[in-house]
Amino acid sequence: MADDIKEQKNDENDAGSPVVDELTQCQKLRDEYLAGWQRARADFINYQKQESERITHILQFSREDLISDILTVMDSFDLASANVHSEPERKSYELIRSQLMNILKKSGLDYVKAEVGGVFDPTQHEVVETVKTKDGTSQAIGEVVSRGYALHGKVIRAARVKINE
Amino acid sequence: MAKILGIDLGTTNSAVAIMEGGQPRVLENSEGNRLTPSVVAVSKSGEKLVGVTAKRQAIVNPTNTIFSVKRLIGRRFSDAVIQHDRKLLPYEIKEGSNGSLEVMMSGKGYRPEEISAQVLMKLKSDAEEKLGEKIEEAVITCPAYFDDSQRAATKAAGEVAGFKVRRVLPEPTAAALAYGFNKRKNERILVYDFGGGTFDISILEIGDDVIEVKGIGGDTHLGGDDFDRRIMDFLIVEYKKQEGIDLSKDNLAVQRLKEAAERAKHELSTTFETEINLPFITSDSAGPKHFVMKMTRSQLEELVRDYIERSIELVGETLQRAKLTKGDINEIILVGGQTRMPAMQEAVKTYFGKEAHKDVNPDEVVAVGAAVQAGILQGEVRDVLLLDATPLSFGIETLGSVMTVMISKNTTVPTARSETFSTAADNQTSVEIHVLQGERPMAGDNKSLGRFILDGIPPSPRGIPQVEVTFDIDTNGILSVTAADKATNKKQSIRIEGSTGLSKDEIERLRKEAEIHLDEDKKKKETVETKNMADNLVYQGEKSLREWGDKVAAEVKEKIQKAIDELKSAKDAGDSDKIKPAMEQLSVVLQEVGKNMYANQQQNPSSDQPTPEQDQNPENQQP
Repeated sequence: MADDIKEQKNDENDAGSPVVDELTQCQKLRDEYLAGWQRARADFINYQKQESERITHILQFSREDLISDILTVMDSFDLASANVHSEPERKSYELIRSQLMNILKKSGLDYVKAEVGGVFDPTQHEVVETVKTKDGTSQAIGEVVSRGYALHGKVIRAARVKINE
Repeated sequence: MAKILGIDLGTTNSAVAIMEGGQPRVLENSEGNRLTPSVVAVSKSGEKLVGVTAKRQAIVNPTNTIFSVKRLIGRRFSDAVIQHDRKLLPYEIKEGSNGSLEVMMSGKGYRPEEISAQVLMKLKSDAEEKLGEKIEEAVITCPAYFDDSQRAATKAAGEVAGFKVRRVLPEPTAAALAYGFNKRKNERILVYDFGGGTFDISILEIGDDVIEVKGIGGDTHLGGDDFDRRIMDFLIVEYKKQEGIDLSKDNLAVQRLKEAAERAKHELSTTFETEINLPFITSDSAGPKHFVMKMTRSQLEELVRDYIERSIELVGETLQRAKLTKGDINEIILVGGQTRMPAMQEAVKTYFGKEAHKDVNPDEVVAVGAAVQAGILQGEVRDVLLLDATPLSFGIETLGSVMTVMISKNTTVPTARSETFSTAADNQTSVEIHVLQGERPMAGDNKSLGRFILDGIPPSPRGIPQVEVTFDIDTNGILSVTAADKATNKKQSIRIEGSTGLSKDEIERLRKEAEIHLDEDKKKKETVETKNMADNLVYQGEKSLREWGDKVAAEVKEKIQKAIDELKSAKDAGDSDKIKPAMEQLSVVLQEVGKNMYANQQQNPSSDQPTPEQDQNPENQQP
């Protein structure tokens, strides 16, 4: 019992000693370093996850510029088939167009939904004009001027539409 | 630690960036784009739209679609600017309480900061979605000419959007931060910011840890959009000349022309000629009409020359007002997409007589700079976590006194790397590991850090023992090199303190030496490599004769021996030009043997690429 008291006293005496101070300092440093290390580990793991997402994204969208440029050709095919008067000629244009679209579909391209009479949706459509109508529903799509396209779900060009006034 | 978002709240478009692992990264919005139009609208169905969705319905809903609100923020209704812009903007601007102003959207009045807040809210939620965490703080940029009330209004917009705004940062300062110019001392920087709708010039002075705006100028109604309009007008006039048809009345044709003009402008930044090709642009009684026209870079430059000249004049005026000359400017930074135009870059270069900085994407440089400021505020780069990199390469000496690099320069420490080596002679029982530092390919030209011997390797033919050498550098730059024989597990190691602690001068000297001797070193290394290959081939030849000599016709044996002797003498003479044909000769005769003797053996000793385990032998001096 007497020994116990003696030891306790020694502990109390140590409280302000350089050794204890150093230990406290070391513990503080240790905690700081541990936190830094954990953060670095976490950052790295997160980075790895993001990196794989980024690679997927790059694979999906690396050809976005090229595909966007080709859309003008698709538009021209649409305009061509709309402007010819003979059925066989129209059919020819449509077949070539469909060949091209099938190739682009393999790269993840698809149409944006836009139908006459459908609801105007600014996430998919872009208004270019309003049209006066007697029977159409107001604010509904009155005419699709050019088709819209999405690449792997991202709208790369909204469908251009006229809406009913 | 929560992240702080860096936001470029632009007049036309906004962008956001964040610091990640010490690097700024521009974030995409929910539509997958890096730029978000600064447009807010209430659609005809009463829905609130922000960004590209608001822009897409602007044509048919002009009175309820608010854009360029940055021109109005923090101003009073009576300001001359407001009275001027009021006439140009399609939406209604009304006087609010105490002389303030309000914009009308769907019959309701909004303060400009409320509209900006809507844009900021979208940027915030898109960034949060992208990062998967809440963001509560932001650094928002504003033009350098913004006064206190405009800055206060920008800050208020951020707060309405739910941010704690850590700083409202001038845009040119952000651009300077993006280029790391804050670390410079006593320099003057001119920021030439040619955006979509505004042209801003700022002169910055970098003192001790502060960047001060010393002068501002520009034109709030000059921008890249003016260029597009010029091109479009030109196209319309040209078409009228050619076909006699006025396209300006046809909305759809105008829209297609506008896009084509923009595309042509972009293309002419990288090519000298472009074709504007718009089939079925219109039609008349004769049928459909097409639009095909070639446009050259010089044509475009001619069209917009006055705008560029005007911008340079404004630069001169700004310098004059700041009582400076162009010679006082140390660096020029280009900001804004329009500065990609070569003629504009050239005009700036000619005026200042020096190249401007344009490496950081000019559309994103302000957001990147805001993120850099955010990084400084959140203490992204903390001293305790600052990691060192090795200034020079570390390696060991291998056969022929070549330095084989184990850890290349600029590797972030701590790091470790292992490679397996083997012996260069038969029955070699020890290897000497000679640790080197430097960039020269020959061991003798580098700094020797220490050497040790690993012995007790069981006698075996050369190339068979596997000695794993590991280099390990800890955070304090202490290098430990260990060599272990895989068969016996015998280990030897050396500890070299202060391996990264070379003086700057010494590092620079070693690097320079490597540069100076680059060609000569390359040749030396090639000679040694050829000699090593020859040595290996001689060994293979002798081994074949020793093992299979009695099974080969005397004639073939003699041929091989002769080829071996020739290669040996060429090798000893150290003449690469003689070694190569001698090697070819020997491998041809050896192959002859191979055809008969080792039909089933895949090994082709002469043309195998050396693998680390077989051929990159540590120097084989005996202890």
